[in-house]
Amino acid sequence: MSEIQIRRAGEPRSLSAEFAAGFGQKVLGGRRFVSPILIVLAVWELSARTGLVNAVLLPPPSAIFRNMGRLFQSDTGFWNSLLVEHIEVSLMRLLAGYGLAAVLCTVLGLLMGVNRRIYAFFDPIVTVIMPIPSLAWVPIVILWLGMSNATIIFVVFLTAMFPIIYNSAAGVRGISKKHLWAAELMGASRRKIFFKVLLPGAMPHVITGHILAVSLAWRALVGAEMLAGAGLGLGYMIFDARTFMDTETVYAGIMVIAVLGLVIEKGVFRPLQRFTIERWGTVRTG
Amino acid sequence: MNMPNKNAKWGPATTAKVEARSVAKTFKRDRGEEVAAIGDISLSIGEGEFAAFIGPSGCGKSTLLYMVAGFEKPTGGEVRMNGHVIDRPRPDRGIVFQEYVLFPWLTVEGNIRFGVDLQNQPDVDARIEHLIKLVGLRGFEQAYPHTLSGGMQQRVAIARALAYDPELLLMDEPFGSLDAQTKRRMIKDFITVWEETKKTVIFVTHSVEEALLLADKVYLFSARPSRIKQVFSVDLPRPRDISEPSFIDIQRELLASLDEEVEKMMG
Repeated sequence: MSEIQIRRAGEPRSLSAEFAAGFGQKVLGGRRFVSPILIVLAVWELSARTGLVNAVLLPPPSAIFRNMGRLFQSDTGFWNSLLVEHIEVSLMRLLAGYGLAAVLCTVLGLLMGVNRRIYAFFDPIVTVIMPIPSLAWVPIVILWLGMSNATIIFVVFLTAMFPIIYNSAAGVRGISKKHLWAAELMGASRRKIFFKVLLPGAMPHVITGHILAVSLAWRALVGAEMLAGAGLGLGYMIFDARTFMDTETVYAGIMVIAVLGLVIEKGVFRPLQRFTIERWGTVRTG
Repeated sequence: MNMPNKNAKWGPATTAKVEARSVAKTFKRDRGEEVAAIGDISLSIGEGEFAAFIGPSGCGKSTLLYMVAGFEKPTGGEVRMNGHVIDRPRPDRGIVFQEYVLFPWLTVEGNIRFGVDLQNQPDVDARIEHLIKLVGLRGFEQAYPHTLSGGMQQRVAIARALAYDPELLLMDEPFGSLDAQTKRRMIKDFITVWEETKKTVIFVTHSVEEALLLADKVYLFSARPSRIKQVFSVDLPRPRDISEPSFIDIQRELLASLDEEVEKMMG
């Protein structure tokens, strides 16, 4: 779903306006986004009800939504319900793992971009470890940290690490020599060049790295929770429900995961991307 | 290396704004072989002079410009400004590149103010406003570079280079990326800008017409390894008429001499 905004040159929107517009686009949908989904849901509903598909393996959406409603209830209200608890735990783990990676790995990536020796040391290590799927780490990490939040958070961190490091370093290295020359000629010290040229210049790549990191981390999180969720988390909820053939809960969980992933990617990060990359009209500055 | 007494040849050093003394530059190519771009160049540019560097591709004219800027160092000889050897880039010079090299995350005004802000120069608002008007960018101060045409981006680059009032303006084929019409317009407008500021300018170009429309002196570089083959003095009042006989005469002479060198390069 894309909306082409035609604005006069020189009328940039503030960050809060971008967030509002982004959220509005997502919540209000836009017929182009919502209609195909509604059609699919309608076909699904009919197929399940008429027995075209096995209603246990593929329950109708109405049943799924009803189940979701049930999961969102509790004796003490919505916010204490089981589903909300699972959601909170998953989001907390994501925030912790990604947050840690965001701080540490952005710094490392930027340093790698700036300093050739640091790059030469870390690049081979990153290149070798990067292709390993995060879930492959789970058995090892369980041995280190047990079936706990720490395990999930660690796996999230591992997943978020690489896109952030790689893109931050690439962003810095992608800045053309002539931009640095021009700044130096105008009187910029090394420190000023870093903060006034390298950092803003690398920003589009850095943001792209973070968007990728969150997307991948969310997926890895769900998988890790299936293996080591220890009773809590959306991934655990889905996995556990299968032991009772509670497919309605499985699908409810999948839908919640999908919606949350969408909100995070489109609602939080895309406005940020629009505020920087698209406003500056560039992916690279070179 | 034994150097004859150059002072006798150059006269009092204080009149030269920029001096090159037996400058040489060799580059190492990937497989270790060396390319001598600049063989032995000596020249002297006076205060307020508009100097054009012209020559065949690869003759080192841009390289020499970068040496004056301080981005590169000669492998032989020295380059001096105001009598002092140029050690590194300093804000007493401004630069305009062919590819504009604007900062895309800053507005037009942000770009223009970049050097001025870095150096903490006070009371520049009036100067900047005047400069923006002079280069024809009034009304576009808050625009981002990517929304502007090539010609306008180059105007921003020129304003940015002049904003902090450097002593020397360096231009590396600044109009090379522009289409013919825009180029003609830019040359005309730049003459107006220059006449107001009267800075010393070093202007690298491929175009004989450009060089003769703008410069006081045209320095013709020979083919690699380069020396200064000839210096043409253009004593015509600006703005110059390309159809005027004296213009055509000097253009013919310069073009012929340049073509000789281009032949040597292309073989």
